[in-house]
Amino acid sequence: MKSNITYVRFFNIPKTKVSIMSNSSDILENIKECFIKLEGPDRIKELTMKALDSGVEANQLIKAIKKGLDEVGQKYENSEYFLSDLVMSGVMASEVTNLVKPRLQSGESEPMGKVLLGTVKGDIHDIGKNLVNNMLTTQGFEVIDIGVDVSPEKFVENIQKHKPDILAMSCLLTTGMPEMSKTVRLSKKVSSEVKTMIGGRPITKEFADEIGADAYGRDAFESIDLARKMVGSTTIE
Amino acid sequence: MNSRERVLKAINFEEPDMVPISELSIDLSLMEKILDIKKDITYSSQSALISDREKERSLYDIYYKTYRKIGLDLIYCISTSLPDNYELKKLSNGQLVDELGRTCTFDPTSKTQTVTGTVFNTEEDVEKFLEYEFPDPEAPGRDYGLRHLKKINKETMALGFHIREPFAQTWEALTPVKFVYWMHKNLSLVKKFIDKLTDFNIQLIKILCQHDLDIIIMGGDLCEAKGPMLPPHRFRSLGVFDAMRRQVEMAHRYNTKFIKHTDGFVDPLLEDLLDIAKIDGLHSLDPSAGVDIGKIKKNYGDRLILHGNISVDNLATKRPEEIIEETKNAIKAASPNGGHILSSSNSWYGGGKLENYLAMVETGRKYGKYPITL
Repeated sequence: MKSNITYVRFFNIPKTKVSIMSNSSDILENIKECFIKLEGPDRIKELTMKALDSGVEANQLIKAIKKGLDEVGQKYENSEYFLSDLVMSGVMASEVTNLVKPRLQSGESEPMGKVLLGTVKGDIHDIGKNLVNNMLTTQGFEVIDIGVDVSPEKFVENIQKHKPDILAMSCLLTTGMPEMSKTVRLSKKVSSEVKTMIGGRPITKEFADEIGADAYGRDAFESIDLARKMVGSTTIE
Repeated sequence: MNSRERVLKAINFEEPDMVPISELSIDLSLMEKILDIKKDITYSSQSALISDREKERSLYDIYYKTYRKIGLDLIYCISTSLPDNYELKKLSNGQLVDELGRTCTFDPTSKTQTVTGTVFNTEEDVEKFLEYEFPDPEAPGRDYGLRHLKKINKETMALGFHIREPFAQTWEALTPVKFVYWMHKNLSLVKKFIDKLTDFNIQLIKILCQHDLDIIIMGGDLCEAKGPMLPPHRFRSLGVFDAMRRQVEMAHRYNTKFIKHTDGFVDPLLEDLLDIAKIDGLHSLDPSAGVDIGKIKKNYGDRLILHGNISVDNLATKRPEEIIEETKNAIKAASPNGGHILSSSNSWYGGGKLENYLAMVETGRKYGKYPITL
């Protein structure tokens, strides 16, 4: 409390505003904690509604989710959390973004970047791809998901159509690897700006380097960090 | 010593003349290449999908011929058969719907169907299915494919059967997102699905084991590359290991060994699989996920049959010389004292390199002679 008084005197902020700020910061902290503890979709919805009703700005909420998701990702990396926990954090993040999206002002709703996403030709698996979609969307990216079994030609067609900042490709099966290689090659031909990011069970950093992909994401969480870096937003504000 | 005798020795932790070699499955597109034939058969290793009995027989003929041509020692019946006169549902987009409400999509590379979705949207959909539409394990015909395979095999190779894990089937039937969401919100519903599938499998095992099966292998993953798909305590609270033990016990009544398959890094679940589920063996031992077959042999090799573990990723991407080295290392680490069936860390995938698969088998024959001298 002492530090709050100092803060008020220094910035000459009315006491009522401090009370709202303190309340907001508590709510945002609760939201972040709710994510970290994976308290579930109902609890996060309740907290989000409470936050919005208390006047917390939508972009503040998004930042709180990002912080929560980052910690979940870290715990997954450390093997404290499991695939089901990742899926749960994605479900919770979707609940918040659905509530928050309509309240974002136009300036705030500018996407962080545009990502074209798909599972490569010869592979129809989509769990990894869907997780990446969910995470990137929650993080403020516009994601154009063109599905599974996507041929290099179809990726290229969509690069030309949507002009994404990032082309993200996934595969579970080794047969997808030559398709990734071909798609990276073709994408560089049609766009000097699009960055390529690949991931999936058989993919390695060495393979990504070998085929000239710009980045290799070990999992959905790493792909978020990589995507942020690729669009020049490496830190959470 | 014939193939079956070789396998029986190995799974009883004795040293046969040489390390038995097998594969859980070989994709049809690859078998076509091996036998130089073309066949139009819709099937899946994840689900019973062949409603045409002639095509089902034809598929097992192809399997048998392929396994014999390569010289494998153990053949698996890859899927339960659909009941007699069953009419498979088809969606307007061409996807097939299996008996558990899973939607399946054709994968042209492997020429198999893969489970990709579900028809369930709400908890009520699932409740209704479990209450009124759940399949009958005792419906006549579920052992049709097995009976045919047994007849043509004539005990030349050991005979195994691939059933699927109730947890994995529930995960697929609900889809991962709904599984996790409902596990949080409505745990009893998820548990009920797993329990019903467990009862289904127990009845099924009873029917199948009457055909003198040597091995039941239970497909369906519990793990991914980083580790278990659920926290281990969640597997326990869902009763996954207890359910598995009930299936193991039914197989044991018929002297059939029970091997669990999973991809991924399985080490954190090993104690539960052995102490609670009481499995006899483990398949895949996925080296790409960091599973060390030598370490597992050292710690559990006297009570756990090891079925693996040449990296399916390496088989698809590396050169034969590298596969030869990897196979020699696996034999050296896992084959002494029996208890090892050499195989890939999954199955022979249609998009893989045939020369690598064959290099694995040739190396197994060359360096897998007992006593192992590598």
